[in-house]
Amino acid sequence: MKPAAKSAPAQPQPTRLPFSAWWRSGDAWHWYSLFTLTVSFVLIIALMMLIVFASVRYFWPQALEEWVISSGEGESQRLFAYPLRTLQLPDAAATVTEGVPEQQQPQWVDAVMIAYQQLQEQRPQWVMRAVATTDIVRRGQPRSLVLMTLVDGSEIAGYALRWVQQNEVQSWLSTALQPVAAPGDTAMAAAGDAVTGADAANPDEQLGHEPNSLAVDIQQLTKQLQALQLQSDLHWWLVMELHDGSSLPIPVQRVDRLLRVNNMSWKESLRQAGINAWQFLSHGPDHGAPGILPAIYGTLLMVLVMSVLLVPVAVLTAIYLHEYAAQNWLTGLLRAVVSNLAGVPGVVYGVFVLGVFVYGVGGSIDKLLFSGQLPLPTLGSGGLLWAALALALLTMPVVITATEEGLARIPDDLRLASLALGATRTEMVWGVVVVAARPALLTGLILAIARAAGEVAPLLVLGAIAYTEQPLLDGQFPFLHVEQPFMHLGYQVYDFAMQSGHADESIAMAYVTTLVLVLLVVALNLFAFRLRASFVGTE
Amino acid sequence: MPAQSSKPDLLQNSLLQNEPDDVVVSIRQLHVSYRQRQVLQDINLSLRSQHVTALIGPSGCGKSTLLRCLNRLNDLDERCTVTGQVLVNGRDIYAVEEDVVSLRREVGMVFQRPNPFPKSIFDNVAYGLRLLGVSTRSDLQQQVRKSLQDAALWDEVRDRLHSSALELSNGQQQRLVIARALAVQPKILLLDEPASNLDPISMLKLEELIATLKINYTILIVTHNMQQAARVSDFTAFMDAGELVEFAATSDLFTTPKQRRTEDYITGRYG
Repeated sequence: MKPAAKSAPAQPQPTRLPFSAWWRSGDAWHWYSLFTLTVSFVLIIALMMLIVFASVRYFWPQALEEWVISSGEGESQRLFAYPLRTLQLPDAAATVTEGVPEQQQPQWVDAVMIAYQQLQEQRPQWVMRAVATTDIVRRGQPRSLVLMTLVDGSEIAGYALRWVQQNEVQSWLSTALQPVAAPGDTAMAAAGDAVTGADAANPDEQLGHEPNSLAVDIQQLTKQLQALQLQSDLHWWLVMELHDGSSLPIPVQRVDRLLRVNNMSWKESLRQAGINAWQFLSHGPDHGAPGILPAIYGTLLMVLVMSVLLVPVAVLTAIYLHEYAAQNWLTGLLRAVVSNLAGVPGVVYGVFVLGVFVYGVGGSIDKLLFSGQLPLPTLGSGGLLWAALALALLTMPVVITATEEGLARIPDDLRLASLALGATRTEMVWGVVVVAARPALLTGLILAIARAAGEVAPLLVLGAIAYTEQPLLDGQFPFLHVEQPFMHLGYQVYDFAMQSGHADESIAMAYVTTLVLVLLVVALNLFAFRLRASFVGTE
Repeated sequence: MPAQSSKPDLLQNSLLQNEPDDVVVSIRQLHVSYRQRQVLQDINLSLRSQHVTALIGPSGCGKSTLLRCLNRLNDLDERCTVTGQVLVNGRDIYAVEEDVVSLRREVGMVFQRPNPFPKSIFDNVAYGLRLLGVSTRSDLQQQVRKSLQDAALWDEVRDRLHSSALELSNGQQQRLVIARALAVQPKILLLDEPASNLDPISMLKLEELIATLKINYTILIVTHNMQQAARVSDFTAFMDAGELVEFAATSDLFTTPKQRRTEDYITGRYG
């Protein structure tokens, strides 16, 4: 049945309902509910697309540009840079012209924010700065530009010049880090074939002064590197030309990857994106590059500790409410109180646990058991245990309610059958009712985990931190250090998005971390669903 | 009508006095009320060992309540009060010192809807045994097998003892539930409309099973189906509005009912 407004033919069809009749028929609700479903579905899809797109873009290798900018008085400077975004800067050179209204004075200049390589203590580092577009002399993406990743995660941009052996390095080192007069001169001074035919044909190749880099493709270069890494006794070094024209020899053992980022096929880019993503997931932030492995551990361990604290209490509470308590007004009141606790904001639980448990209970325990370490707190400050406790309190109403609903769905016939076989009430509850209600218990736990994994507010006051080197899990007794501050994915998102200085990169990392958190929750849920399915079936 | 209500008692007592050795369960002046409402009034009934007694009567006449008095399943509802005596093997089961758990092992019960636990077939039958403390694997296997054989289910499930009981058909589930009740070796079996949810074939199988079970057990069966009562039972009790109207040998009750209400009911003029 279509809405009456769909078409307006000259002769109305006899079967078509007038609008009022269609409205009265109630079909409008069909379309209205479909509409709301569509809206929520589209919103969720859009949100997920945004997160996924931003994450993929973060890992996707970006073109590395060679810039020549004027640095005043006719001097120019070469930079290897990633352009980040355009912005407007106040024009320092603007002079106020008489007679022209102030609004029309040129006060702003277009600029590009870039991350470029700079030598800091003789090591290349990425730094950010804004460059006014008027200062840009040349800009291009030379295909032979190499991005070298070292085993410690740091990156060096430059041209791969040549292989040298260790005994030659001394002479190289003496000249290394000596800035060469002008960037272009290096290319001139170095003999041979700087630019291949393909490179010259590239419209981006406006610079025309590419140095005498190793003019082989990157696969060959990488193969050479790997071959040299294998025969490490020869001690080969790879000489890189840096942005300021100086040469830097790098021992091959320290080289992790070589990439000609401007000359990669789609497949290579995808592979690099995968490698980058794996690096991000499988390392901590101490690796030179950002990484969130400890935050994944922290989140999982916290959810685990939370479940251990939560499940026994919540399940026993629900069993008492449903199986033992007399069903009178007091039980009803208790049930309403429990349900309404679900509406208390997370940060209230955080502050409650901080005040009562961390300072009260934790402080007392410190005085009794860990007095040797005072005034350094052990349990008297935020940590994994207290954060898990706050989340357990936060999610308890959900689990109690879900468990009770599950218990209510168990037919009374099963209880009677168990009792009629001579079971005591306890045997009946644990042997039949809880066994039959296990899928419902798991549903409650799934809801609790999904809520807890994404909750950040209580963690802000209970020991979630942006970076710690203390592992939560190690070989030292008691192996799981629940009193330690910890890293957490949700808190990382908050930290990346709100507190970090390098806005461009950390916003992207916040998206990636969000994606990881969402995937983690989905994975936990899938696991629980599988477990649930196995309970619903047979033993 | 009220004038007739004393008559069953006379019949009852005469039956009781005639065959005292044979009686396993005797119910004396049982009154049950639910909140303020009387649901059973002055019930007097005796069950003879190794016989099937059928309880018939219209819905809501208190048949199931009477059944549940025999294993004290009514205790679970605190709104339910029971007065009078129920003697099982001469023991007053409502006496203070009576152990309800052991009583329920002695008096097994099967419910209207098949209600196997959501466990495997084996674990369903072994449930009561495990409660009794049987834990060795061989003992469990042997007794589970015997119970399933007694319930005429063994041949159908012997190859899938460890698959879920919920995969069985309705009729199989009902026989499984009987096997579960038999496993704890009761003396008396209470069947609460056991065939009402079964198809005719399954029902027939169940009736055959009842006929074989009565060799070893005393059976009280509640049924809506008068043909079924006539087929399976040796004695029949007709209840109406919380009263026991007539109790007699099945053949007598269906052919020559002494009470007008009984006659109306079995000839379909009820209501």
